[in-house]
Amino acid sequence: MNVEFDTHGNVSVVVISGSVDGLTAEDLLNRLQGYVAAGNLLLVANLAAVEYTSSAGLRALLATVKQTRRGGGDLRLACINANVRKVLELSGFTTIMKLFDSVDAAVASYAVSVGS
Amino acid sequence: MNAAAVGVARTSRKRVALVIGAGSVKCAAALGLWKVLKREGIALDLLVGCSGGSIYAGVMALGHDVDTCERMTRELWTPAITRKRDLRSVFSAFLPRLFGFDGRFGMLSDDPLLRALDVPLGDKTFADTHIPLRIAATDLHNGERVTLERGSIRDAVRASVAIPYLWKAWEIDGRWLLDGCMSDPLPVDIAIREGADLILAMGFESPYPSRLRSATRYAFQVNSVYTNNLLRANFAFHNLAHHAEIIPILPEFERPIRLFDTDQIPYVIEQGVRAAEAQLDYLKRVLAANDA
Amino acid sequence: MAIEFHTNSMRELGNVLAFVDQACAGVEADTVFAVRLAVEEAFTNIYKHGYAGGEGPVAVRVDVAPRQIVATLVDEAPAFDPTEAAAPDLDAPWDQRRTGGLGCHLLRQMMDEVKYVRRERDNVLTLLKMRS
Repeated sequence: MNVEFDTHGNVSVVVISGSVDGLTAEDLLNRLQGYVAAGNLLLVANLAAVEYTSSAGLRALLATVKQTRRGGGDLRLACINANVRKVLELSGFTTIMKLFDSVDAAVASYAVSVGS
Repeated sequence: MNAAAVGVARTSRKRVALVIGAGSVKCAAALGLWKVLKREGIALDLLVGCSGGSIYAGVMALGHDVDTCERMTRELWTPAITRKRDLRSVFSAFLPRLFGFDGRFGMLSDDPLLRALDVPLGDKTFADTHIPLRIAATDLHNGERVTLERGSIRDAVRASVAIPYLWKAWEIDGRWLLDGCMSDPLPVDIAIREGADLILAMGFESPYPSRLRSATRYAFQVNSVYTNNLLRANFAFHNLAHHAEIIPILPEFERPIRLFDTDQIPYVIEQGVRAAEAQLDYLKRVLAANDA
Repeated sequence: MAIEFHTNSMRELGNVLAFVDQACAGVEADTVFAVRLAVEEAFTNIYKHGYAGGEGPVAVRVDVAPRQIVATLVDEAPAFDPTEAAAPDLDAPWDQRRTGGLGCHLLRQMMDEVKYVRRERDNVLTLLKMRS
């Protein structure tokens, strides 16, 4: 499992590839937490190259969602394949997170003006 | 000011959402909560409504004061909206080919409901709101929850209150929509997804009508049983998944409040005030707390 | 035909998943995905809860038949039914709540049948998935 970070303006894109399972999820979580703690609060996770995730992966994603939202940001998901989407749906995650078909759409979603 | 989206906060002020779940006349308790919030100077950043709650969320989001909201909703929700039967729809269920059954079965005509909703909501759209608004409905074909956030508020409310078997499903953007209750009677997850920090969740356990005399009441009974189980199951998960806090504001009613007991609205609002005041200290502490 | 894979610690999860993939060679992708996920969740629970985070023997077996796949996990931990979801921790302070019970929930959703049997000295968990 591989994690790479990229930036699109003020939004950070996290490209995750490989399998996110019980062994790799901890590594993923540590890297994400470190990245968010460094001040990157507007995140998009590009999951195009993630074929598989278990509940461990879901927990890593959820912990990061909570961490970013506490700081006024968010973690939004892009390019989810059918199998991973099924796991997200069964766990109820699709209703509490924002999902997009492309990285561009996810990045663009942060450019919405604030209601007062 | 773009009131259509909550967006990402630019200040450190916590964003407060109010979710009004299904409960017909009991949803007026939300006005009681709102009175308390206004008194304390606590602003709302997001309103989410489901089923009966969508009526209140709609009029509140449009910026009407509490008394106007009370009057508008009281005048809207009367037995007159269930008086007219939709015979054609009933017949079409039994003789589908002759009457053109198209899956949108409803025993009642929705004309009185639509005309009643027009009065407070008129031609207002989500973009006209002072506070961002979301309304929950359910897709008839796949049972999924649909979050409405643009277009006509009246249409969204009409879809959200479409109690199965009573009123036909309502079409928006090519989807046939039913009562929001069916997928989640207290859609706290909509507020979670929008990034609200503090979520006030006003939920009501549906009443179980004591005598099942008519087909209308039977439909309502089925709806109630389903609603209660779903509400409990979802609420536990949402509590785990949210990053900040969900505060349930649960008004207590010492007497039964039936489907159209609009003369009890002043009592309902007062119970809403009490329920809000019971949680007010905790609410203020959560707002003032520094995050980890 | 079925073969067994023996492990002694949670660290061997990767090998177990590779074993499942191999055993299911030629099976439809969706079915393999479900079986792999269910085995991972069950395997993880045995070590987390059964062996309380420590080490211990687990034997994983995968039977591939024309109509279904059956995965069996046998462990020697104290009697523990992994199909019982961990209760969500609603009493924890609001800033410290964990997520829990997800794995069991997913397992039950992905498999067509989940059976737990306690024998004299071990636990047997049987997971069945019908093929499409």
